Formats: sequence, structure tokens, C-alpha cells
Amino acid sequence: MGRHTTLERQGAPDGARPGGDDDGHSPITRRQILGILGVAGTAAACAGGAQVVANRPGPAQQAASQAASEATKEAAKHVTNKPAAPAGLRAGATEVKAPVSGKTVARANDAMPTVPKKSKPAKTYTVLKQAPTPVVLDPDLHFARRLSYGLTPELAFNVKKMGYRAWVAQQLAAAPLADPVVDDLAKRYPLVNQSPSQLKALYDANDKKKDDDPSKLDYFAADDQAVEMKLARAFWSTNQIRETVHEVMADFFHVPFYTDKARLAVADFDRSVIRKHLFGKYADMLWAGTIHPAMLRYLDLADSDGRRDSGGKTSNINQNFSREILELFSVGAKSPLTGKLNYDPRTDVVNAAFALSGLSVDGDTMTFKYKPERHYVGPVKVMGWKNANPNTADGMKVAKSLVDYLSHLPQTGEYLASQFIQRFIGDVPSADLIKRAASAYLKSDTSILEMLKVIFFSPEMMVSVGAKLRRPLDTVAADVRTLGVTPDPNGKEALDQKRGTLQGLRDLRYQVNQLGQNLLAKATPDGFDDLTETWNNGITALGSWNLNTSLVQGWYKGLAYPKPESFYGKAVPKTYGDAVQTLTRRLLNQPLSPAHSAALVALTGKPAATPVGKDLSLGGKLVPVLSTILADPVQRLR
Amino acid sequence: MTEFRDLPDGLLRHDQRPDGLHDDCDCGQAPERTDPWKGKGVFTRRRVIQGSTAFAAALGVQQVTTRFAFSAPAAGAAPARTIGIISLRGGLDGLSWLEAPGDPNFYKIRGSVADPQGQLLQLSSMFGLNPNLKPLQKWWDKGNAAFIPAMGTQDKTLSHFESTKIVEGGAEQGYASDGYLARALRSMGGLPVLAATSIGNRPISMDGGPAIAMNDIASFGLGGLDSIRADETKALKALYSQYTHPMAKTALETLGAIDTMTKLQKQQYKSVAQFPNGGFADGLKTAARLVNANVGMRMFTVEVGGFDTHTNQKGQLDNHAQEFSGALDAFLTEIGANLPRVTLFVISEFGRTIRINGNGGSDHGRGQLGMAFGGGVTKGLFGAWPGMTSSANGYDNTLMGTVDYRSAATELLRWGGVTNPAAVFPGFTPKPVGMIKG
Repeated sequence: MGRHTTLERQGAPDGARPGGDDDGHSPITRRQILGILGVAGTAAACAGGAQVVANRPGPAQQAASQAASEATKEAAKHVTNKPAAPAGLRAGATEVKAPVSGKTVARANDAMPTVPKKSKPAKTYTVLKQAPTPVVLDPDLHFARRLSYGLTPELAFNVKKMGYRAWVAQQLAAAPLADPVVDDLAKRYPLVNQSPSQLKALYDANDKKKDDDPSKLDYFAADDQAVEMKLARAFWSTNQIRETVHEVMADFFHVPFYTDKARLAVADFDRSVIRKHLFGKYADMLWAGTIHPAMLRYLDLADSDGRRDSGGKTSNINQNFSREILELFSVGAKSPLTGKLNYDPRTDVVNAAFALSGLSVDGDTMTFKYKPERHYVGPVKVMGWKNANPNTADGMKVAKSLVDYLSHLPQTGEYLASQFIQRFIGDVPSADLIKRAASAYLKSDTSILEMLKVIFFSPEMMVSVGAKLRRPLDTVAADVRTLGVTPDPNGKEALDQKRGTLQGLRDLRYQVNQLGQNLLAKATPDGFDDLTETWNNGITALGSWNLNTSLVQGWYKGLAYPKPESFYGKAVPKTYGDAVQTLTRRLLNQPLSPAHSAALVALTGKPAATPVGKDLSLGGKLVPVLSTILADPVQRLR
Repeated sequence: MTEFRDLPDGLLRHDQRPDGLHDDCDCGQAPERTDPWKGKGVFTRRRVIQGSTAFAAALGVQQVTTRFAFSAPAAGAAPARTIGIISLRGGLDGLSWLEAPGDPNFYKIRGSVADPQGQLLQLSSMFGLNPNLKPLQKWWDKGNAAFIPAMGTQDKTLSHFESTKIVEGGAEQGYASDGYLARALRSMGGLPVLAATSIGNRPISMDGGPAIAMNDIASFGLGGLDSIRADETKALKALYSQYTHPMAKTALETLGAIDTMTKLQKQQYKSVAQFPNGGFADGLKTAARLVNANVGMRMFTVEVGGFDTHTNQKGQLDNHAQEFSGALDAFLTEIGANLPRVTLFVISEFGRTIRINGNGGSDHGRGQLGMAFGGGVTKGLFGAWPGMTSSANGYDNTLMGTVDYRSAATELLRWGGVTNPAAVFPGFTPKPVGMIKG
């Protein structure tokens, strides 16, 4: 347990910190902070039910937090049909008693950031620190920003009104919220809900059509429609947490769209494997995916044959899927906690391939088919799982037994937790949180939902404000949501007949792609990662800035854009300085620092005191001011 | 936070070591040197979180330094070499461009799509260029052109989608997690923002890497009104200057690159060479200007489509040959004195069938024509010719590649400054080709 010794040295056993950097303003990098999170969390784990105390924000951040409250009020002005003014808008992070590890308490904004008086001397206390961030320290806005694809005025208003706990609870409820915009749009994307057999029949007829027949669908029309519906859901779904969780799972248990050999089945995989079990049991998702034609084809299990040839060799066994189910879809290559190998990459992979052989696809109907004659017969052993596997008749039971074994292993919970934590908290997950989340997963018979609750309501979550860089889909969606871009009800002419998709969505999807995220279609089964170093580059910087401009100007067909003047809300600003502040509060949900304000006013070429008068376009500079506000670092973080 | 430098010097005891750093440790639990997940044919998979990254954090090492620092090349410093990758999308029928009149089966099999021997631009007793590629002859004569008549790839799917992923990923088996050019760029490190440029689309070979995509020089930079662009750049500098974060640093470097490009946009520039019309020539023209402006570009990609010629291919491929060779000739002329530091490599996702189908076209096949032009090239025809018979090729109706494109690319990447190009293609053992100067 050498790790613990080292960590205790770092973790300041009594929780007391040397003064200096406690105000959260020391110039340390976010990676270092994340490192502190990760390492400190481990120390807490070492001490059992340790108490985790978050530091308070510095004075500047507190001021910003209060201002955020005003910003939220400002946002409320933009909400149509708003209820009565919300009671008790809370400024800054408040005390949170997070139900984590039984005794753990996070005090994110406590006046006394160190040791509670009644603690037992044997315990180790760990200070979780909020890294310096340009994002306002407001727990409600933080949760809404992190767990969604970006704040809309409505979301900001609602989460402040309900409080983040109620909002998260509402989002995690078994029944999704009514989703009118998405439901309406889905009517334009009929291929998304077709089963592989239906699509096969459709394409058998389609392939006979001549190329110049306008009703002839593109080769990958079903994939186009499904990926663009994902974009639409990220933009406009009311069930935002479902959508962000969906993206994590689609990257974790990944069958890429536009896979030729799995064509016509991938959209169904997304629907009937990933989405169906999103808040359910991972054990169910893993098995459903294992026997889905898309996965069977993509990773070649459909072609695997466990029969021995005349020389007694199983030369037609295919290990592709069996390798990936271990390495990527269950226990992971190495433990995120110990760094040790989870399984033997030779014998365990081969044995898994034997156990799973026979799971295949009926190519005529594009449905799952167990082909007993291909099932390997004989004892099989994978990690701690064994089966005599005596005949071909029970081969499917053997396969399911192995998959169930894998989904119920602690390592699988830990690995899955680490991926969720990377998405929702920080690049370097704390070992303690991984353990807590994995424990909830195991206790609940592999419930993804129970794992998510532990992660969301963790102290680590509380102090991670602004810690994540937006990936390309996040970036595009955040702009669309911030600006209130919607599908154009009159945009029918912008529908592409051959693909059946809305041109504006297709264009925006191309933007996501060009920013480096080939959405839901990474060729390899590992999906895209969610690490700063992957997404911090010149493409995402320049690309996101130019996206702001094109969206503010409404370049993409088939979408409806609010008029730039509408971002003032109802109150007409008096001066250019007021105008810039109002617009920033509306778009970024927080006020500007004086320096930012000055830079934006300078863009108009006029002094801040210049009266706006009747020219709401700020002398024609309103559009660049809006784009530049969106280019703020705050908009690139989540 | 107690940082690593506070720990004692010398070898750390087991209990002082963070996870994943037990090399030479007294615990004897050193991690396997050979990571089985990086073994043959398998690329970097999902990151193992508590490994090296966590350790770097514990060290207080800022691991997320931006790898692509913007720095204008120092005055007087020798400009770095530039590699250009040209992708012919759809799968070029190589035998239509580099014809093989010396092969006893050539005219018998190719029939009416073959050009008469007298019209070919003879490069050797076996091979001659399609007469529509005439502008390339000059560069051959000067020693700046090379051909691989039967270049192979690891792809066996012959699907446009799959083979593009497989070839541009460069894995020994299956797909790679990122593009091979991206891996090469990352291995170089410390590159300026404009080090890698995709003119037009950013191809899969650049996936996971730093390549910036641009259509042309004029449109590169912040969008929106011309009149306000300079002020916007200034405002963005103000926004990002107030904040220390890797993202902010990258943003400032990107703004620096925009400045560089803005200067280029303002300069009067007149091409020396006559570029033909068309998107491909426009792309090469942009590339030539970036080379000449010495913005620190180390790699660029350009792609051109129209090579999936299943029907009536002769006319199409002759036209493409004119456009291609005209643009290439103009590019090589345009870069003038920079020629010695620029090399182009031309590749398709696959080749085509040897025999012409019933519609006067050809279908997807394996072996393809590889081409290279520029200062790093050794003039010549490289690799063995497998002949045109099925028995010689081991496949029916398709050429067997005798030089793997990754062997050629390895030499090219080494020439371009990638110190360990073999690491770009893990699991693959490159063989000497000789097409690129050592």
C-alpha cells in the first residue's frame, strides 16, 4: 500500500493547509489541481470514511458568485411564461452534506475550511480545492452546466428555482420529461426507429432504384439520420442528463456509425442497447450489445467459429470481440486503482472467444442467431469464471454466464466509474470516488443510475467548477443552446431528400466532425476520450470562434435564429457599457470582469459611456460583440 | 501540496512511489515492459487513468503543456522540411497513369484503355506515363519524381469507407485509434500551430492530431466582417490573456497564427507558375504559398476525388491526369528555391482491377500506384513488378503490392524530421524502399 503512505504525506493529515494558496488564487494549473483531487481522494479512501472538506472561494470569486445571482435574474428576464420570481436564489456554493461514503461531508463554501472539531484523531482529513476558474462559483449553475450540453436561459432559471438537487433528481427520474421539440423533429427522421430487418427490406427495394431517382436513399441514410438526431437531442432535449450520459455510454460501449459491415444495424444498437438501458443495469446493456447484430458484425464475433479442424486446431476462432469486451467494455485493461493487469491478455481472451463462439447473425434478416454448430465445446476459464461447457446446445447459456460474470465484477464498476468521472468531474479521477461509485454499482446489481448518483452528489463534483474543456459536440451544442437556435418550423425546403435530414443539422454535424469529433463514429471501439490534452488545440480554438460567428449570423439553413437585438431582453441598455454587461449576463450567465468589459466595448470603437439611444445594433457592431462574448474562455468550459 | 521535489533524492522506496512507477523498485512489481495493449496490431486504447497522467500530476509536472507552440521561425534559421500528402479519393487505376507496355500481358488485357506505346512518355523499358501527364516528365528528368508501380496496403476490405480508415489509420490489423500523420506530428512535439494544415477536409490520417483545416489563405482566420477582424483579434487576446490555463495558452498561440496569416493576406502575392483551374490546383496553390511564406508548416494534406471509375474511365482519367499533372507542375515550379525541402506523396485508398469491366471501367482492387515528387525524392521506379497474371499476384484480377505504403511513408517521415517513424506504425516492420533520400 505504498500509494497510501505517499498520499498521506501529501494529504496533510490534519486537514490544515499552509496559508498561501488557500485563497484559490495561486497560479497552479488545472492539471495540478486535478492531480490534487485524484491524489487527495485516495488518501481519504485510505482513512476509511474520511471527511472531505472543500475550501471556500476567494473574495473575488465570492463577488463573482453574488454577481451570478444577478446574472441569473437577468436570465430569468429572458424566460417566457416565467413563474413568480424564484425564492432564495443562492449566491455562491452553499454548504452541502453530500451522502457519500456514509460519513463524508462536503462543505464547499464553509467559513472555516479546515477540521471539524469533533473529529477523531485517527481520521485523515483531506482538503478538496476548487481550482481557479473563470467560471462563476455557483453550485446550481455548475451542475446544470456540467451535466447538460450547455445552459439555456430556461435551464439557468429552472435550476436556480429548483436547486440543483431537485433538478438532478428530476432529470434522473425513471420517466423522461416531455420532449416536444425532439419528438416533433423525430418525425422527419423515420429511419432512426427502424429495426435492422426493416431497414434491410427497405434497402433491398431501394438498391433497385436508379441513381437519379429522387426517392433513392443514400447508402448511409439511416446512419446520417441517427447521428443527426443525436445532435438534435443534444441541442434541444429537455432530458439533458440522459443525453450527456448517452454520449459517455456510446463512447464506452462503442459501435461506430458508418461501419460498412454493420450497416443498417448501428442505429438500432444505439436505440435498443445504449438508450434502452441507459439508466438501467449495465449487465443488461452488455448482454444486449453482445448479441446485437451491429456489435456481432463490427467486432467479428458473427464470423467466429469454434470448431476444430482436422488437425484439432480452432483456427477460425475470432478473438476481436472477446479482446474488446475485456479491455474496453467490462474490466478494462488495467485497474484504475492499482494499475495492475486485470486479466491475462492471452489465455483469458482466447477462452472468452471460445465461450462466446456461436453467437452470430442471420444475414437475411439482420437479426441475432445462435449457431450451435460453431460453438466451441470443452472447459473454459476466464479470470475467476469457469465452465465445463460440455455441449453446443447450452452454448448460449455459457456465453451469457460469462458476460454476466464480467458485468458484475468490481473492476468493471471501477472502470466504468472512471469514465463517468472523467466526463463529469475531471481528467484524473480520485480513487476514493471510483471506489464509492463502483460500490454503489455492485450493491445495486450493476445499476448505472446508482453509480451516477454517487458521482453527481460527490464533494469532488462540488469543487470541480469549470474543470472540463468542452469537446466538439459540447462546443457546438452550447452555442446553439446559449443563443436559442431552434429547428425552423418553416424549414421544410431545407430537408435533404436522399438522406432525409435537415440541412442545418447536417452542416453543424460537419462542424463537430471538423473540430475533431466524428460524432458517434470513431472507427475504433474505444470511442473518444474526454481529456483536456486531446481537445485543447488550435482547431478547437479557431473552430469554436468561427462557429460563434456563423451561428450568431444564422448561416445554417433549416434553423431559426433569434434576432441579435433580442439578447438585450426587455430592458433597453442605456450605454454601450451597459449593453455589453447585459449581453454577457444573458449569454454567459455571469458578469464581466472590468478588463473583459473594456475589451468588448473597445470592439464597438466607442467609449463605454456612449448612449445606446435607438441604435440597438451598437453602430453595426452588435454581431461581432455577441460572437466575441461567446468566444470567452467561460463558454469553452463546462 | 507536497511535491515530488520534496521527496528524497535517489531511488524511491516502494512506499514512496506513486502508482505505475515501480520500475527498479524493491517491490519487484515493475509493470510489464511490453504493454500487451500496445502489442502487435493494437493501438493505444482507452487511457488508463491512474497511470502516467496521475503520476505527472503528483509530480507537479504540468503535463498539459501545449505541444504546438506558436513561434515564428527564427530569422536565418534553416526552414524545416515539409511533407505534402495528396489523397486521390475513390481509388486510382494506376495502370491508366503509369502504363506497363513492357508487360507482355498489358495490351492484351487493357485493350482500348491503354495508350499506344508511341504516345507514352517512356520511363523505362517496362513503364511509360500516360501522355496526359506530360508536365511530370520534366520533373522526372530533373530527378524529382519517383513511382511505385505496385504499392500495397494492409486493407483487404476494398470498401471505400473501411479502407480509408484502415490505410489512414496505419494499424497492422484493423483500425488505429488515430491517424498515422497525427501520430507522427505528435511525436515531433513543440510544433507551431500552422505545423500541420489540411487544405479542404481534414482526413482521417490527421485524426487525433493538431492539423488545422483551411480552404485557402484568404478565408483563414476569424470569420465575420473584414472591417472588424483586427479589433476582434485584439479583444480575444484580452479575454484569454487574463487567465492561466492550457486552453488559454493554446488560444493565444492560435491568435498568433491568425496574425501570421493576416499578414500573408495583406501581402501582394503573384504566382510565378500557371496553376490550372480546379479545386485541387487551388489547394496546391495555397500549399505552395504557405511553403514559400515559411510559416513553419511541416505537413499538409490535399485531397481530390473522382477516381472511382467503374464506367468509361479512359476519358475521365485522362482529364484528371491533365489537371493533376498541371497542378503538380505548377506547385513544384511555384516553390522554386524551396524545392529541396518539400516532398509530396500521392496515394489512394486502394487500386483497381487489372481487367477492364464490361462498362469500360475498373472495379476495386488491391495494389495501387504510389508517386512521390519534390526535393526529397530519389528518381526511379521502386519495388518489383508483380506482373499482370493472377498466378503471379495470388489474387484474381488485382495487383499484388510489392512495397507497403508504410515502408515508403516511414522513409518520408524520417526525411521530414520524425525521429522515430517506426513508432508511427507499431507492429509493422518497414522495409527499405529507397524512394526518399536517406
